[in-house]
Amino acid sequence: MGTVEGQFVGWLETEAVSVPEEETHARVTELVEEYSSTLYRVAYSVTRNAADAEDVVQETFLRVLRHRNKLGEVRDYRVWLVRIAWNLVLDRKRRAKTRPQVDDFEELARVLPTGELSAEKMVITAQRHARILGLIDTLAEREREVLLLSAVKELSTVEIAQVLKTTESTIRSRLYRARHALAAKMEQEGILQ
Amino acid sequence: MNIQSEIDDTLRRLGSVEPPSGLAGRVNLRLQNPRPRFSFSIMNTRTIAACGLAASVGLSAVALNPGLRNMVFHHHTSAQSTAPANTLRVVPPAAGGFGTASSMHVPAEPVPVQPSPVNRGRGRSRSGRAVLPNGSQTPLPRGVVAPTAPLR
Repeated sequence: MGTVEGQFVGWLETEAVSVPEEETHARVTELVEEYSSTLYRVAYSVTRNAADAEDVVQETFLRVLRHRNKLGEVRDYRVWLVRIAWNLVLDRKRRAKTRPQVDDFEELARVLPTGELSAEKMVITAQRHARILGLIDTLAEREREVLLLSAVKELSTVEIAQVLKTTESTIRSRLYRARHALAAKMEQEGILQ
Repeated sequence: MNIQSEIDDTLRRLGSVEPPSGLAGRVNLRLQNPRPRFSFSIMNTRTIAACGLAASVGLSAVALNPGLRNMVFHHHTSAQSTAPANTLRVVPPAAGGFGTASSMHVPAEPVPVQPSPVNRGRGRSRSGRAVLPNGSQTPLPRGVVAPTAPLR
């Protein structure tokens, strides 16, 4: 896994394209409007905390602003931004590794969409989801990352492969193994019984 | 509901989280006023190292070079020894010399040598006490001594 600064390498065209300053700022504002929700979901899939996820989104665009002179060279903004946010959120999670995992079921019940369920069922469903998410966190790193990124509805398998710098077939393979391992853990824990 | 559909449901809900309202506006506001960050860059490190090196070289030069050292210490002592006006001044003795020697009194004539005191003891008694010779001062009697003549 590369550093966050390294995300600016590899997604740039070979020839630098100079963009005026005003146009750059306007483009960054457009990127914020278009991709902040996607980046928030990417960050939330790891942090499970609204404030932390929003911090990651802001930090992502601050990085973009810092490297705005290279903005005209980016080929795929969505993948580029997700990659920055993904590395930022992994860095943040690594730093906060000693912090105990938050199992705030009420927060999950409030945040995760549960449809037309009663309040009691919403809490029970949120508890079950929290247990499954806890099991996802115990998966191997590569499998966990693929599973969490596959949850973000805007990202295709090809884009996940581009974010993680690997091939599409590798992503499919990891995804299969991740789901298989998670199902085994769920059976072991008796979540659906 | 089987396990796979439960996994799908969990992932779908996780990936469908809606961000808090006004997220984009807050991000744009933050981008307009980015907080200044302390960056400990390589440039700063080099600057700090160069300043530290220059300071240590300067201090070493002052410590090792007598000319520079005298300049610094002379200036320092002259600044300290400047007596304020309207204060008492201690006049040093007229005789020459430094420190304690300057205050030593040298007599004009030679001083006769005093005979060293002689131990006038004459041995010890059987009990081990010192015995004074005859004619020497007798020890004073113990207790209150009554006067031999009436007091005036």
